[in-house]
Amino acid sequence: MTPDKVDAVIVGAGASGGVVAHQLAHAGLRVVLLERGSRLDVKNFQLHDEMLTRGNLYPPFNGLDRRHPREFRHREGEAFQLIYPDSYSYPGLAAAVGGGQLFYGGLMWRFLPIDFRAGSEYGPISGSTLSDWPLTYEDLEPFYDLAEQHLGVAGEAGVNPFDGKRRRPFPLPPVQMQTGDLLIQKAARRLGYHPFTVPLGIATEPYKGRNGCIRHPCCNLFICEIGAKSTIVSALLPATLATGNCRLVTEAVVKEVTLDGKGRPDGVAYFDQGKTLVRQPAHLVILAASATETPRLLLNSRSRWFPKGLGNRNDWVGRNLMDHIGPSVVGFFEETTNEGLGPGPGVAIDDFYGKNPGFAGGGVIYNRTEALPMAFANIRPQTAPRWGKAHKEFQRKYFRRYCRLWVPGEMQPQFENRVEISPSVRDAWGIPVARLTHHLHPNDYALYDFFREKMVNLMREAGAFEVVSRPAGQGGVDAHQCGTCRMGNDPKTSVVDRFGRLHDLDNVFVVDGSLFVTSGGRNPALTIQALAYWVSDHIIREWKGGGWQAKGGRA
Amino acid sequence: MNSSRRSFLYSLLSLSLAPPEVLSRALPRQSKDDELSFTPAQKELLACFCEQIYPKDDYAGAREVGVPDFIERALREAHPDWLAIYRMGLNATDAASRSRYGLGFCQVSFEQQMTLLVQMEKGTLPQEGWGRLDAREFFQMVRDHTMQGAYSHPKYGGNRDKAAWDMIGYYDFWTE
Repeated sequence: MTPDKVDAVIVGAGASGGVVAHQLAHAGLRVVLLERGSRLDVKNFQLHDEMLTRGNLYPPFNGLDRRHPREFRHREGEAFQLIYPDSYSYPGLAAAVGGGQLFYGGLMWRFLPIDFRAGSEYGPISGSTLSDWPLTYEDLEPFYDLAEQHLGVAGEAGVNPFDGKRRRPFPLPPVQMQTGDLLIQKAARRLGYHPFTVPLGIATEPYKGRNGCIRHPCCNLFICEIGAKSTIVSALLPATLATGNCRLVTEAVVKEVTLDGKGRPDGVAYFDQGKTLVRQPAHLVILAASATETPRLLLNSRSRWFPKGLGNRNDWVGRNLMDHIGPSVVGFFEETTNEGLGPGPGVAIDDFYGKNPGFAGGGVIYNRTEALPMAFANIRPQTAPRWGKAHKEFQRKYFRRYCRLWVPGEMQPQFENRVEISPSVRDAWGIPVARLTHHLHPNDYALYDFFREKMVNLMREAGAFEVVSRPAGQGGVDAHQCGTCRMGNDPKTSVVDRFGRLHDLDNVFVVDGSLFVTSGGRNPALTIQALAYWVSDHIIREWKGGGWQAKGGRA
Repeated sequence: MNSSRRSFLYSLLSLSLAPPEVLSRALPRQSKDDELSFTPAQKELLACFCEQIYPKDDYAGAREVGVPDFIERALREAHPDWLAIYRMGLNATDAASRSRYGLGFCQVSFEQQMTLLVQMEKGTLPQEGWGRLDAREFFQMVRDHTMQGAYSHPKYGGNRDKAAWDMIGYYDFWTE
């Protein structure tokens, strides 16, 4: 049975797909929102429990879920390794309504103006496809604003001198810093830096019918039971469904974008409840499945018209796979540094955001201390015992006396770091899986080492008597995956135009982190969502009703 | 069984603790469903092992806060296939003690037990008696599961009376 043709089918009910569904449904378009996971009913779970962290609960994170294999290698020429959700190199985002944002730490910063002109700022870099974005911070600002207002972001405007201009303050007051944040804030000021409060997608007070945050320490990597964390589930989905214009279909595993007899995309084919193959006809196809799954879907949509996959005429689909690269630095103190409260992130500095000596890019350094008993059992100085009486003593002495700094450092886009489809491995539905190639660029190592030194110094200045950090690994991507369907003005060096539309086809859009030209040096959630608002705005403005014909009439 | 419980049972020990491949390879092909718990001797061995990882001092140790019960329940309800690994590992630990000291692991002194476990942790214990099991990986697994049992929510069977939480000053104001 084929469902009725709708105006738009959206693949993926995560951070970006949920935004597009909300906007199009409110504009009167009939939308079907497909999600391969389920719609979690938080009432069924006893949450705020350390055992129920991201990795333990939901597919595909659950290590025992063997339905979603992938392949991974670092470099061309190496053999691919079969990987599962519990493998280190598996880029994890939750397969559930809400997507990765269900479990995020709430980091909701805007990119800085410099991010959108990274190519011009840092110049050409050997081995990197670094480039400017086809839009500016000013272009995106109204949509950052919309995302902040709709989803709810808590922060303090006018404190960070590196911020771009904003049209109004944050809709919610900033989260209150803990002792460790204040120690780092003071130390940063002594070193001449400009500390500010981390902007968070957390309802710091009741917001638009949502509960205010209770500051439970089980926050980052946990679903928020009371809906204080800003996600499409807590903020947008109820209103989206209330329009009557959006049908949400869960456990719908999309196989491919379908074409009509003339090679024009006319919907998608998906396995309903994981079993029966169903065709969903639609005027518009909008891909919001993540920077791993969106290119996989395009590459799996091969036909005699598009033998290399949809939108892949120039072999750019899946290229430039990125995440972030940056050290995690833990400092132990002789005084109390945290009051055991969530969400965790407090203070941040942008003083090394770009224009650093000897390498390109940068990132925001921030304190993200999450004091949880089981996790802390594995946080130790290198020489400290891992078990026994001394371990137990350390556990009780330092549980409230440590801080962790982190930086989502900008990673270079490399053409050979990519998502392909496997010629040999298929998932539980018989669909060829994604195979990933990812290694670090020399610039990534240089950035890592630079930040490691700066952060160790900052931690010492704040009063830590012992500071622990590790050298960079070999690469690989996780939840900040991005870059694989680059937006750009030149079809030869990008996959979609500045409005997320495939260069080749006028009715297929990409709206997730795949769009990113560069990774930026900040967590990606708000920029992903601002881009989804930006693309939605374009679609609605061009929508003629009852059909779709883009301006210019490219067929 | 509600879904909260099933989630726990289904996935409990996968938190960074999925059995390393070496351990998996050591698994017998089939384990019988009717043997889903330890013998009293094995349970006692497990308790001695866990007590080394999380020993009694001024505060309750692993035995007192229920870590062996936590592990046994988790294996039985979530990972029955790993029971065989535990049995092999515990028996090999006991055998190593007998070969070194002439007495079983629970019969030797606390310091002698510790000496053996340090060797297991470092991978310097003779491989004899371990078959295809890697002593170092087995140690790491028991160590990690002991920490889980001690510091997780009491509803999972360990951390009895929130002893470990009280010890470190963690207060779960939401679920209480």
